[in-house]
Amino acid sequence: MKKIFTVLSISIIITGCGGGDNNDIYSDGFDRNALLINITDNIIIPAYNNFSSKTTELENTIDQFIAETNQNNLDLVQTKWLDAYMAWQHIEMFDINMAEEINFRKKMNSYPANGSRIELNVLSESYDFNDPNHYAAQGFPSLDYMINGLQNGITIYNGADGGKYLAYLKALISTINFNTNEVKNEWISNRDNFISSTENTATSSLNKLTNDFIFYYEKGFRANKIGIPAGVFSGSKLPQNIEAYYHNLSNNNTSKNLALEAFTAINKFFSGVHFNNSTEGSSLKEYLNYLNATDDGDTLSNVIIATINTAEAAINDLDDDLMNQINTDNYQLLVTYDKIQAAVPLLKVDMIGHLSIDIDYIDADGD
Amino acid sequence: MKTKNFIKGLLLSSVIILSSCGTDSDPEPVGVNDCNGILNGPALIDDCGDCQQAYVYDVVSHTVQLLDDVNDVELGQTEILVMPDDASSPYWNQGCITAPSTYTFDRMGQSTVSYGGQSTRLLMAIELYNSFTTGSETELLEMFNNGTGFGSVDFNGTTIDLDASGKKLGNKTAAYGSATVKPLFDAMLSKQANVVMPAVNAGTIASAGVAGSFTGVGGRTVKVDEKGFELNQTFIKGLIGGLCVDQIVNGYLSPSKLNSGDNETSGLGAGEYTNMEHYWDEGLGYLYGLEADITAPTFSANGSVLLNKYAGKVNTSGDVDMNAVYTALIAGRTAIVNMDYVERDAQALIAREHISKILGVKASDYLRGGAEQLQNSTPDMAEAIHDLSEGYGFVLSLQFALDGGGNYLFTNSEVNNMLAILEAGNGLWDVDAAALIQMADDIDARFGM
Repeated sequence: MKKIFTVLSISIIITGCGGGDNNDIYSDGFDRNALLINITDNIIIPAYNNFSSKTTELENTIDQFIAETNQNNLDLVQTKWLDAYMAWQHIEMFDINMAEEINFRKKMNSYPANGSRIELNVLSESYDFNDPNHYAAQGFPSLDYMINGLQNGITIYNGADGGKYLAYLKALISTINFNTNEVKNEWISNRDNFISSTENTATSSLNKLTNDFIFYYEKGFRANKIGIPAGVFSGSKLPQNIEAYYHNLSNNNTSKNLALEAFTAINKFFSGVHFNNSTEGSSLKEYLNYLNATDDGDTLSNVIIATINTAEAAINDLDDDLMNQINTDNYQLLVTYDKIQAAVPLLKVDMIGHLSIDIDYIDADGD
Repeated sequence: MKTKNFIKGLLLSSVIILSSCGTDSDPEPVGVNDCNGILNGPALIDDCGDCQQAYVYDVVSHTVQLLDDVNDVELGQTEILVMPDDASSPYWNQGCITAPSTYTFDRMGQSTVSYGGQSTRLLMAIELYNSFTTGSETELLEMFNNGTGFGSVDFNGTTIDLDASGKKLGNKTAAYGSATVKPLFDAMLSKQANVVMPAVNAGTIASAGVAGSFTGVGGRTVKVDEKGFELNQTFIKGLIGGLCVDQIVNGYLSPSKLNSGDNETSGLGAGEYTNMEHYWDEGLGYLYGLEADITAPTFSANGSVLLNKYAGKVNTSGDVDMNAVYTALIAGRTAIVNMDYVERDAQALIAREHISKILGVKASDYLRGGAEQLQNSTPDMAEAIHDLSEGYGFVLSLQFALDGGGNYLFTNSEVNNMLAILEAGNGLWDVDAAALIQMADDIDARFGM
């Protein structure tokens, strides 16, 4: 042990003196800085810009609906809501820094929406969106309830309490935009700090990005979109817990489309593909390839991509209406869940082992 | 741990040298904190997990002066500089404990061994098993999935309110396997309450395609579904793999689970344990959780209907050495205290392989037992059905078993294929004895038995 120690130290000495000091290169030699620049400049910030333009458009249609409360304008709100929800799928995984601080993810996408809480809030006109008890009474699921879930919606908005419903609608979207701008602006202002944090500590950028990506894949994607509705964590299936439940009731494909969009985001992040086009830059994939990470004779990155593609294909093969799939043949959803799950150990054990990154969250298992 | 030290040491060396190279580019200060939080400090964590400082030792006065910085130290005539890992340091690697002879671990004189949640679940399994002939579908599913409807039970002289424990069986069943498995257990409970017991209570005599009760020539009475499955047996034997073995070998004793728990001992008081220590104990709890005295496990204690009952049987038959499991569990837990994770994982592999093998031995045994009964000129169908129902549960369990390298021995679909053979046509009423023996042979081969 000691001998090896000395020899290796010497080899470092030589490199150290010859090459000078480069903070951007972690000790394994991979250029983490380049990876962070690609992910930040070509994925995260463009995805946020896109998202924030969609939520702004949504707010405009809501303003229009408030000014002229008719079915036509409500339909427009529904369309813009879906556009924004699709765009959201590209940023949910980046639960870092400001987003984490203000509980952005929980405020934006806690579902199922708490309908009775929403009704109480509407009528009392008194609520605190920073209170965790109100996380399920705001964000996209609550908008879903308000614009797709109210029976005779237009009648309610034009009824005795219509003003209160409109006011809550406005409060929901302005809170979304306020929070979105906070997070987006921080990404832009903090960009230089973020990309230069190339060390390998729990709070370094790549460590946080990677942890949040895996956590998202496990929780936000695997559990929330598929596992929980399929009843994997409960005694019985919970079809009412699908994402975009109310919109899906009338459109019969919303939850699946959101899940597929999320897969696009997952693939792009892993392979470093730019948000706005198909250009590929530095990424976890490139990093694993740089480290010559293999799995059963193939590169680990290939195995991960193939596994994720298999899972995506399984979702594609499901009934367009996930709720119908759960109610008629839930087994297919469980099999799909298995295929999604297959990537978890590859990411959470194999990948992070190669990257020497520690998992910073503990599965809550109730013991 | 060794790797970590190594990397830290490596960075340390490189940093020291870099600064001595005197580059013109004026690099930003880089480096790592040592285990005392000193930037580029000399302290190192030893193999026992203790942070050891460098110090100056006076060979005449025997005084020790701890150092945070060893650069520019001026030594007096009677002083020597001792680096943390110097061979001459009497502290380095001296904090390790040796494995105790029994599963006894403490911190400041109080036991740190804790697995109450596992004992509770094993007690729940007994209560649920005992409710199979009386519970409605709602009641059985409530017990399984919500962890309520049990009431209180007596355990080692203590009354435990199972309903208030907050523990559940369902959410720990097949937790690391295919998501398609857990619903099979729910379905067995539903069918028992909705199909089997109504037929039994109506006095229906079971036969091929007909659920009810059936008494064999030897006097055994079985309560079965229309395919001849005793669902209390398929359920509870399935739970041995789906709950106990899965939680132990794929959960608590797996490196990924153990590594997810910190092993930070600073600040811990008497009897307090680290997450990693606790995970290991929880793994042990799914095996020994109902033993009256963990320092002297007897197997089968307290009427356990799950893993420990069969651990006792295979130990007695000589098929699996359960003392080796106990020794490995002690050694692995010791390694956690010593922060020696290579040793921890090596001991875990021993325990995981042996525990997995219990499933293979019993699956094979029951399939052969059933086949032999069927091959009699006048087979006792109640006996065959009983054996094969137990066998079905153990086959279901096989998808959770690991080999000595920590790899799954069977895939979910391989297990499903075996189950399909048992379920085909009229199930156990017309299963082919030769097919059962072939299946048992295949299982033996896979386990290297």
